[in-house]
Amino acid sequence: MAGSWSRTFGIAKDSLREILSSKVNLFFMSFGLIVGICAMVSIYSLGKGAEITVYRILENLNFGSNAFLILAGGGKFFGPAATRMDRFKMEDEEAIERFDFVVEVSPVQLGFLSVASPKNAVNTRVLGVLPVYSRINNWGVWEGRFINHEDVRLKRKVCVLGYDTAKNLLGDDPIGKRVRINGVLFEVVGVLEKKGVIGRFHLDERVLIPLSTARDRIFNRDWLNAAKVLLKSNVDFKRAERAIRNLLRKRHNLLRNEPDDFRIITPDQVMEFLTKATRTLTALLLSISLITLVVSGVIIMNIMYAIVEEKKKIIALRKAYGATNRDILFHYTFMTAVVAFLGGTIGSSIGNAIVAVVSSYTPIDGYYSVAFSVLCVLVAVIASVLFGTAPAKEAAKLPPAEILR
Amino acid sequence: MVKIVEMRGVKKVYRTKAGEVEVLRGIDFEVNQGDFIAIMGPSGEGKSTLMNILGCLDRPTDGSYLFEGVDVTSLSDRELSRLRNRKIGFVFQQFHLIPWATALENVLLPMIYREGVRKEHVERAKELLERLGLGHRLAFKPSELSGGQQQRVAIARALIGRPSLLLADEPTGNLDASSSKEVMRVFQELNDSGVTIVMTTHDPETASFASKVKVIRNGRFVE
Repeated sequence: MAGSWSRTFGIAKDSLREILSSKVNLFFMSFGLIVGICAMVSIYSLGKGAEITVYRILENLNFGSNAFLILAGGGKFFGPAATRMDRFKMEDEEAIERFDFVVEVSPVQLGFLSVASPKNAVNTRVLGVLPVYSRINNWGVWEGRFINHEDVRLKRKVCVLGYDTAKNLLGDDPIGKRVRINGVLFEVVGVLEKKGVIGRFHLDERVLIPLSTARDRIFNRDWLNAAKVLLKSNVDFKRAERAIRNLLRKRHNLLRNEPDDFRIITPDQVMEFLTKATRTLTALLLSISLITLVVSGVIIMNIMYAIVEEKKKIIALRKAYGATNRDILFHYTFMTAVVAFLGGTIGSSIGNAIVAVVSSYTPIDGYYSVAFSVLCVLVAVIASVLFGTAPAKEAAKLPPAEILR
Repeated sequence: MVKIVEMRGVKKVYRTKAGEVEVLRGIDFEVNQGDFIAIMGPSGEGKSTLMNILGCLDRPTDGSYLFEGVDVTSLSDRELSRLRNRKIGFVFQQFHLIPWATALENVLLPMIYREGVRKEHVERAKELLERLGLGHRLAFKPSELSGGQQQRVAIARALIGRPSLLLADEPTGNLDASSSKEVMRVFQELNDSGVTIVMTTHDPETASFASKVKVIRNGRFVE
């Protein structure tokens, strides 16, 4: 661009002095970029952070890569069942457990029921479970004890409450107190550890009761709503899924072209489902930020035109003293790039600071990506330089003789 | 005598919407080393156009112009920029100093486009400002200097690159009487020390400092 490094350095320094001499121009040129880049970095980081939070919770629930859920009733993932649901039985669960690649299975009966204490009443999900539920979901008790084999064998009317449900119904000291589930009195023997929220699922709002009690005293049915299957860690996931599918189809006497009357849900599908909304929102907000960036580019272009108009005589003077058209082009392009770099860096720093604040006050994990921040600054610089080219070219073309007259 | 400028039959025609305007109508002009020439004439007679062509800021429509024996009409824009940077110093009526730069930085401007500012350039700039009575104003911005002082900074800027020719377009046009005299004395001293100067003015008193006066009227020199 310029003849030698020291010459280029001199022009760059001159350009820097010029932009620093007008703080107002500098502010207005970089303001839009600061806002745009700040929005981009914070939206991306919080979106990504939310995904990581979901992933962390799923992993915390032992729903990593070596587990899956079987839901009663065929149909689409997480939609209402499209077939009969009453075919998924305890015997199916026992048959699955006999596969040598299966570690263990946790069967569940589920219903939304009213649960009342003398203090409060809530409508929440009530799950009939076995003791294995605690281990398979990596979900211990925060207080008291979990449902044990005796509870199941004797169909005891005992329950373990989710953390929030316990707080809502019984306040600080729930152990030993009684709640009424669908009109039947249950003794609270434990409170689950706090797990948090995934999307719109409040994990800490639930009531667990022994599966046998649920079957014979609450739901009065023999079919299961779901079962979580834990596989050995070295097992081929696809093969295991296929084997279980074939087993269930055979046990349910399904014809070749008849659809499954159950659903096998993998962790990937759950992750996809839970993060889809976040992803869509993130994409939408990112595109709005990109528009901000374009608007900033237009603002930069306009201010650059104003600067060139205002500094016409100085540009002509530089040309009189030996600046070539290329030198002038470099002078103003460098100026735009510096402003964009400053705006982008400040924007991305503020964006990361916002992420730090949000993640310290909410359950969302902060996700900091140096690569994304650098990319944003780079995009800001490229966009601004593109928008700043036209005014810089105009500056380069100014005829010194006419202006200095 | 070393010939610095040799113009033969230089014409300049501007094309406007109203038609063609012939501003210079065949100028023959020579500048030798050590000359101090004042070009006089009323406004609009072609003084500034001639100065622009002399300073290689504009090209003649017709005629030949040799600068130190080089035909400048055949040079590219880039070569003209180089020639201006190395061979010509400009002093303008309105000073044209960079407002955010100090006196010293203003003086160093031409060196940016030569090879970058070096330590010896800074020393020379300081010396020049000292010589022009501004040694105590090195770090002053133009707004902190008087008109006469600003013009002296502009003169130092014109001299920093040791040009063959100093072109001054109405250098006292924006100055009061005492500042004008002060600036003209500087020109005279510079000329005495060997600097070649071509200056335009419409003030006979300013012109009286020059060793030669040429009058331009209607695009031609009047003998």
